[in-house]
Amino acid sequence: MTRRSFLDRTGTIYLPLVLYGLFTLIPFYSMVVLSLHSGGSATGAFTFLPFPLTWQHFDALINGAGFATYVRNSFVVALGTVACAVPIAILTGYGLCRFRLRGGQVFMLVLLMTQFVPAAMLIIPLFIIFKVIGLLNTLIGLVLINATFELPLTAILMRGFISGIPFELEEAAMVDGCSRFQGVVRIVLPLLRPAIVAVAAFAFVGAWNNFLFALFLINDQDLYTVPVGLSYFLGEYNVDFAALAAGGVIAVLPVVLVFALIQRYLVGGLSVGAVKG
Amino acid sequence: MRTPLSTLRGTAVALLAMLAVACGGGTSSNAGGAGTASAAPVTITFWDTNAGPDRTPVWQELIKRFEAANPNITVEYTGIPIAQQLQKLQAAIASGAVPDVANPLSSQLSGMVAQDGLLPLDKQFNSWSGKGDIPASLITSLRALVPDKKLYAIPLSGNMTTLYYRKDWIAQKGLKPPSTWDDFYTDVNALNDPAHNVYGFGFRGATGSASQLENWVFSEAGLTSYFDSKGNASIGSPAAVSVIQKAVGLYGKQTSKDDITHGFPEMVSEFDSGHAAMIMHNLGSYPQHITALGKDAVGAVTLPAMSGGKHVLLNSPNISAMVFKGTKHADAAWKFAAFLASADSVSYFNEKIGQIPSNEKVASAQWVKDNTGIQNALATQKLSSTTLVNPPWILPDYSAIESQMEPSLQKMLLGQVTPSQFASTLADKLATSKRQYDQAHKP
Amino acid sequence: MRNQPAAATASRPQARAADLPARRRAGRRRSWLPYLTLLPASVLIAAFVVFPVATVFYYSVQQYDVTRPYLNGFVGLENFRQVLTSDDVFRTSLAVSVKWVGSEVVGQLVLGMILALVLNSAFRGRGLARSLLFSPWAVSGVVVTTMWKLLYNPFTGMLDTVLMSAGVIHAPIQWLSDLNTVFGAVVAAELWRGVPFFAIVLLAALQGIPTDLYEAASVDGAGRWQAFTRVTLPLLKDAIILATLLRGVWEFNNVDLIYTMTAGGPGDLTTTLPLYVVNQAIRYHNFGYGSALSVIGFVVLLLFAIVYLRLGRFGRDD
Repeated sequence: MTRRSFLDRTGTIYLPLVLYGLFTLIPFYSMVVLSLHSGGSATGAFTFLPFPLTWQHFDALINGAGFATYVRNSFVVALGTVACAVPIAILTGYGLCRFRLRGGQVFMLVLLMTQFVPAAMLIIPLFIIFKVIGLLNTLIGLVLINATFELPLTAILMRGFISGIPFELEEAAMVDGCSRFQGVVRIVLPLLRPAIVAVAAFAFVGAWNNFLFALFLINDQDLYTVPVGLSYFLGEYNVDFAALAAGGVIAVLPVVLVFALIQRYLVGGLSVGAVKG
Repeated sequence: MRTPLSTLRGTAVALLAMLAVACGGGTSSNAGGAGTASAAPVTITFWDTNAGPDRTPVWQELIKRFEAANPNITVEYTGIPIAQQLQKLQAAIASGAVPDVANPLSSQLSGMVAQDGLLPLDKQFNSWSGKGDIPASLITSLRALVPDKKLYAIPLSGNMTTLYYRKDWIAQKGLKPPSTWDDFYTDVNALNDPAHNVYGFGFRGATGSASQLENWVFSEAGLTSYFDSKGNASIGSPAAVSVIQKAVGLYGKQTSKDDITHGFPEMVSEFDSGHAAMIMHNLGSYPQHITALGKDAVGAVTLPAMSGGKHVLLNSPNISAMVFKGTKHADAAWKFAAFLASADSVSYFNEKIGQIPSNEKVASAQWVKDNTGIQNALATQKLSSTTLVNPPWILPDYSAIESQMEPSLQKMLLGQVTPSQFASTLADKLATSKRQYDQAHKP
Repeated sequence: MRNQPAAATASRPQARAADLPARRRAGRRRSWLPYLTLLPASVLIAAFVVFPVATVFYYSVQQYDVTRPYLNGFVGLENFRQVLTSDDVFRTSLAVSVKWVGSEVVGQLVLGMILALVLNSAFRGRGLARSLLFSPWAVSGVVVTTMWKLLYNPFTGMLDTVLMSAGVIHAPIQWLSDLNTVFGAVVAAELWRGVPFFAIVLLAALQGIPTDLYEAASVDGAGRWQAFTRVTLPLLKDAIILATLLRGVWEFNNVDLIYTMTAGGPGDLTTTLPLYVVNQAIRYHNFGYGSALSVIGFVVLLLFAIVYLRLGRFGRDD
C-alpha cells in the first residue's frame, strides 16, 4: 500500500472517524454524565458536566439493587450462549457449505423462519415447553433458548465465511493424509478466526441484552439478568433516570471490555492467495 | 501455531464448569407437603407486580417481619416490572407455574378468575381475626367483580386520581387553587408561559392516556353512572363529548405539543423539572413530586368540583393480595396474605408509598393525618355531595379497551379524529363488551 | 464469500473429482454423515421453535382472549378476512414496516461499510477506535431507548439545549411528537445501535480479501474508488447479501426500540406490523387476531427471503 498524504488520510480516515465518533459517543457521554450527576433522578435533565458529582447511583445499584448478581448471571448466560451457539454455527455452516446437501437451501430458510415471528408471540408456548422439559427457572434454559435464537444469524454468517475459504486447502491437507476433521481443525478454523470472533461477539451481545426470555422464563429474583434489573427503573410510580443511566454504564462496560479484547482478532489471516490455480 | 485441540479441550472444560454453575444456580424447591402441620418448614413465592427501587425494599421489609413472626415459613420475593406483569401472570396461570401470592391491582381480578387462576378466600377471610378492619364496602365491591361472587382478593391499598399543581406559582400570581373546574381552566391559562417553555398543563398523551381522560371527563361532565339502564356507556353522552372537546382544546396551546408522546415518565419529568404547572396522576407519585420540588411547592387535590360544588370521582383499583389456585401451600400463602392485610403492614406499606390504607384501624394514624394528598382525597370522598363511580372492572377487557383507544386519542389531538368519533367508538366498545359479558353470564 | 481469482475457479471441478479420497466417492451408504452436521441445529429448532411457531398458526384461526373464555373458539378465516379487508391500521403498518426496514438496512449498510473500511486501515489507536465505535451494539435495549428519549426531550434534553444555545433554532423541536421528525428521530436511534453489526460483519469479511488483489489492481493502474468497486465490492457481495437479509428480517420483527420511544405513535405513524401484532395480541388481548397478523408477516418475510436469495444469486459463482 502506498503511503498516503496527511490530507488524504484526514479525508478518508480521520474525518469520518471523528464525525462518526461524535455520533457514537454523544449518547454515551450523556449517559455517563447522568449517572454521575446528583440531580437527574426524576427528570433525566441534561447537564454538560456531572457536577455536583456523586457515586450514589452506582452505590445504590450494586449494594442496594443487587446488580452484582445480575451481572454475574448475565455473564453466565452470555458465555454459555457463545459456547453453545458458536460450535453449532460452525458445524452447521460447514455442513451447509461444503456438502451439497439436498434441502440445504431449504434448511437455510428454516433457520431464517425462526426469526419471522415476533418473539413476544412465542413466550407462552415456550413457557410451557420449558416447564415440561424442566428448564423453567434455570440459567441453562436461558443459554439454550438464546443459542437457538442466535443460531440463524451465526450459522448463516458462518456458512458465508466458510464458503470464502477454498476447498483446495482442505483437499491438500487430506491428500497429505489428514482426516477431514483434522483438515478442518488445522486449516479452516485458523482462517476463520475473524469470522469466529465476529459471530461470537454477536452471540454474546445478543444473549447479554436479551430481555424477554430472561424475564419470562425465570422466576427466581437471584437468577435475573441485567436487562431485567434495568427495567425496574422505569416503573409506573417511580422513575429514576440517573439510576437507569448508572445501570446502563455497568451493563455496557463488560461488553466494551470484551470488544476491546477480541477486536485484535479481526485482522487478516494468512494471505489466501498462497494457493494459486 | 497453537494446537487447536488444546483449545477445544479448554473450551469443553469451561463449558462444563458453566453448566455446573447454571444448573446448580436455580431451583426453588418447595419443601414440605401441602397444608401439613405448621411445624414443617415451608417456602412460598411472592411476586411483586410493580417492582422498582422505591417499592421493593418496602415489600422486603414486610417479608422480613413476617418471617420473624413465622419462623417456619420462608418467603421468596420476585420482582416483576409493571410493564410486563400482566403478561407474566397470564403465562404463569396458563402453564401452571404460578407463584403462591402476588399483589396485582383489583382491576385485573376478573380476567385472572376467568382463567381460573385464583383461590377463593372466603373461608379463610371469614375466620380471620382482622376481617372487621377491612371496610365492608371494599369487600363487597371485590366480590362483585367476579361471576361467582366469591372473594378472591384482599385489599391492601387504595388510590385516587389526583390533580398536582404548583402551589407556589398559584400563590405568587394570586390565583385561586383549582378546587372547581372553572378555577382549573383559569389557572391553566394564567400559568401558561410558552415563551419560557412552561405550560399550564402536562397532558398525558401516550400510554395511559385514555384512562386519564376518562377520569377527567367523569369529573367535569358529572357522569354519575358508568352505563345507563339500556347498557349504553355514558362516556358517549353529549355532556362527555363537550368536555373531551374542551380538554383536547388545551393541547398545543396550554400544553406542550410534545405531550402527545408523554407517558408517565415524561409527564412526571415535565412537572418535576418545572415545565408544567399542573398534571393529573394518582397518589402514588406524591412522594416523588415532594422530593423533586419540596412539600410547599406541590398541591395535591382530587379532581375539581363542578360549578355547583359537587364532585364526581371515578374510583381507582386497589392493590390486593391474591393467592393462586396452583399453590401447594395454601395455608402458608393465606397466612402471608392475611399478614399483608393486617393493620400494621397496611400502615407501613401505605405510609411508604403514599397511598390510602385499606384498613379502618389505620385511618387514625399520624402519618395519614400528615399526608396532605390522602387527607384531601379522603375529605372529598366523604362529602355527601360526592358521587363515587366504579369503572366496569367486571369486564375482563376493560383495560384492554382503554389501551385500544390510545392511538385514536393521539389522532384526536392531531385533529384527525373528532371528539365525537372518539367518544362514540369508546362507548361502542364498552357497550359491546358489557353485552357479551352479560349474555355469557345469564343466570 | 468467494474470493479466488477467476483462473483458480476453473480448475476446481477437476481437483474435486480427481484427488478426493476413495471413501468419499464410494460413500453413498455414508451419505447420511454430512447431515449429521445439521443435527444439533435441528434439535434446538425442533425443541424450541417448531411448537411455538405452530401455535401462532393454530391461534390465527381462533378467537382467543385468555380473559374472556366465553368468546373463544374456532373462527376459520375470519381473522384473516378482517385483516385483509377492513383493517386500515394493518395496511399502514405494512407500509411503515417497509419504510422502516428500507431506511434502516440501507442506512446501516452504507455507514457500516464506511466504518468497516476506515477501521480496516492502519492508524494509531485503531484498537481503541474499534472498541468504542462498536459499543453501541452492546448497550441494552431499554438503556438505548431511554438515553435517546432523554436526548430528544424538548424540555431537558441535550439536542434542543445545545441547538438553542448555539442559536441554530429558537424554539425546541419536539423530535418525537412532531409528525415531520418522529420517524427520522427513531430511525437515527436505531441506526446508532445497528451500524456496528454491519461494520463488524464487513470488517471480518474484508479480512478475507487477499492483499495481492489490491496490489494487482494498483499495478493495473486502478484508482482507489475503482479498487473498491472492482475488487472489494464483488468479493463482499455474499457478505452484504447475508448481512442485509439477516438485518432486514431482524429490523422487521424487532419492536423494542419503537415501542418504548413512541409506542407506535403519534397515531399510527410509527406503528410497524410487529408492533401492531404486539398491541393486538398482548395489550388488547386479541391473541387470535394478533396471531393472524403474525402469520401474514411470516408469509411476507418468507416470500421476501426467497426472492432476495434468488435475486442475489447467493452462493453461486458467476
